Formats: sequence, C-alpha cells, structure tokens
Amino acid sequence: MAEHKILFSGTTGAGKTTAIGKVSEIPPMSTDVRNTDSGLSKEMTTVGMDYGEVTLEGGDKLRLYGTPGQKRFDFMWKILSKGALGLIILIDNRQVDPLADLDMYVDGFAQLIKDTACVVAVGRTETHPAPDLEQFSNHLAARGLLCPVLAADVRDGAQVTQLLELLLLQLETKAETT
Amino acid sequence: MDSHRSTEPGRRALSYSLEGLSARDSVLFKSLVRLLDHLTSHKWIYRPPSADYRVDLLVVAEWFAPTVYRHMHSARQPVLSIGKGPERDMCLAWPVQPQRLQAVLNQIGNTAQLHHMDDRQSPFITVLAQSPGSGLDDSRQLFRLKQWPPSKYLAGVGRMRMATLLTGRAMSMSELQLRSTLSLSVCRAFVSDLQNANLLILTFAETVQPAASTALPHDLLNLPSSAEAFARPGLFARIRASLGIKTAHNS
Repeated sequence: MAEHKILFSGTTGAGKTTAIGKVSEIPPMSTDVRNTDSGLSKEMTTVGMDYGEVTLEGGDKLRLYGTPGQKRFDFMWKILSKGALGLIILIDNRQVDPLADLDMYVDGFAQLIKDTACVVAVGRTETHPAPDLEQFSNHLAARGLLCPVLAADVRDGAQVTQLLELLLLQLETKAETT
Repeated sequence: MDSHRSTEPGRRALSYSLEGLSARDSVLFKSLVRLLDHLTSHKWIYRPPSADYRVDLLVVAEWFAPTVYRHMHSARQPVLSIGKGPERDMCLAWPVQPQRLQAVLNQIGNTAQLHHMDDRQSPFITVLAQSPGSGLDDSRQLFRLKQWPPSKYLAGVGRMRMATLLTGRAMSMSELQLRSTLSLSVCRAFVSDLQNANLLILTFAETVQPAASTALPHDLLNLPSSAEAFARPGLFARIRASLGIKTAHNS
C-alpha cells in the first residue's frame, strides 16, 4: 500500500484544521494546545500538525497534513514537505500584512513549490477585501511564481475540494514536462 | 537538436517528446524507455514538448486530437503514434510491448543518425518565422499564462480550471479543449479574453520539412510481452475519484 501526502499550510487561524476536516474520511487529528499568543484571537492553536486521510482505490492512502502556522515551527515544514505531492497555502486576510504572510510560506516551502505545485487560497475576503486577489497574483508574479490564487471559505467542503482539484491539474501538467 | 552528443563511446543520444498521453501513461512510457536503455542502440532522452524544441522523435497518442499533428505525419519529423487499434507502421498499440518499442526506437534511431551524418546542417524540424497570434484555432499556436488572471476573467464555467491548465505549460487550443472537457467556443472565448488582456505568452509550434520515410518493417513489430507490468494505477484519477471530483480528462 502506497502513501501520498498533500500539505495545507498558511496563516494561523486561516482554517487548515477545518479544511482537512472537510475532506478527510476520519476525524482530523490535531495537536492543538491552548493559545497563549495574545496576537491570535483563537482559544486553541496547532503546534505540531493536523492530520486527515482519504483512502484511494486499491488501498493507497492520501494523507493530508496541516502544518503549524507560526514561523517558529518552520522546522516542521521541512519535515512534512518530504515526499509531499503539493501544497495548499491558506492566507487569512484579516491579518495585518497578508502579503508578508504569503512570502513567509512561499519562502518556507520554496523547494516543495519548485518541485511540485501550489495553490494559494485567501480567506475572509468578504469582510477584509484588501489586499485583493490581483495584488496576491501580482505579488507572486513579481517573485516569478505562477499558481492559482483564489478566495476560499474552507468551511465549505466543495471549495476545499476545488483547491485540491486545481493542485492536481497543475501536478498533471507538470508531470508531463518532467 | 541539442541532444546529439555521444554519452557513451559509439552510442549517440537522441531526444523524444510525448504529446497527448495522460500523466500516468507518460510516466509509464518514459519508464519503459529508461528500462530499455541498456538494450537500445541509442540513448533516448525525454524532452518536454515546447514550441521551439526540436526532437528526434515525437510520440503522439492517436486519441489526442489527431488533427493537431496531421501536418507532421507527412513530414521528415519521425512521429510514432500510440493507438488503441491494431498495430501498423509507426503505430504501436497501447500498452506498448517493450520489445516492440525497443525495435522501433532502434529503427528510428538508425534513421535519425543517418540523417544527421548526411545532413548536419539541416534539422528535422524548422521553426516557423511567422509571428504568433494569427489565429486562436491554429493548431500550432500555443498559449501559456504570464501570471494568474484577475478574478473578472475567471468568472464562468471552467475558467478556473482552464487557467490552471495554462500555468503548467504551453497548450494549443485543441489540447486546452480536450483537457478542460469544455466546448471549443468556451475555450476560445477564455483565451481571447486573456489574449486581449495581455495575460498570455504566445508561442508558435514547429512545422516540418518534406518527408523522409521512417516506416518500419512489420517483422520488427511482431514481438511478444507487455508493458502492463510496469503500469502504475493513475494516482491523480484515484485521488479525484475518492474526493468525488468528476472530470473526463484523467479518465
């Protein structure tokens, strides 16, 4: 039985745990602890990783990992990146500087993005419209990156599935050129 | 062609490219070529398809918009078709039998080597000097995104998927239609919008010079065995199935 994995990373509070829970066939396992960071408006936060899984035909497993969002846990990013199929970055547009947040994850997962594929999903755009999606795509283009950038509400399972589908499309076309 | 260098004494490196095979089948085909490497007379190196890339062999799935490559079949560029019907000259049945592929690669490689010895100044393929943009439906016109489009261009059925397809590599209109499973008019409207917004990189596919026969004798194609043993089930298709994503392009 083979195992494959896809990573969800991004801003703390952007909904990585929620996103995984929407597509996982098991209740997502989380390593959440009580939040002591006064800058975060949430009671619990993930310090290790989230985990969910989907069984594929033939018994293979697709493992869905959510990375901790904080930079100080970036050593986990490299560990989780090993062998991953691709990356979905969730950005919380309520944060002070979402574009800087995006930079942090693009830098932290640079090798994974280069080797595989990436989708950027921006949350809470309905209440926090700035920066808009065009600014995100311009920002990525300025860094020489081209990947889907879309608004997403990860409480909606269909939108999480769409993120995964866009990732798979990229992976397919990329596979044909390698 | 930049692959014409000797990698081993007396063994020339030749290049090939794949068009129209699914990701899984492409991986399988490339794996097969690598497995046959110690048996083939030449070292075959995969090159991604691109507008200005010249290869010694183009491998094309017959079921993949055959009109796109119709112009190449009468040309000097060797084209090996992969089909689902009976085998014939320059057409192997899928899944490809390793011994048959080995024989075909050796035959084509020998022909290519002869051409290069006789005609070093004349490449198999000539890149057209025509400017791009002469027509969206021109099968040689390829499109790729410069950057992710603003939201206003992505509203509408399938537009997000089409944009994503165009992030990976340059595609013709036919391929975009095939892979997106959308109608030609929908694809054309999308590409037209992006083109007007200067969001596309346009490249122009190659055309070719008059033909030189690379037909293979039938006895080279009558060898046993099967490539199925090397096949991996389509990972992306299985992920889609498990997530309930229904698309035709990876079926």
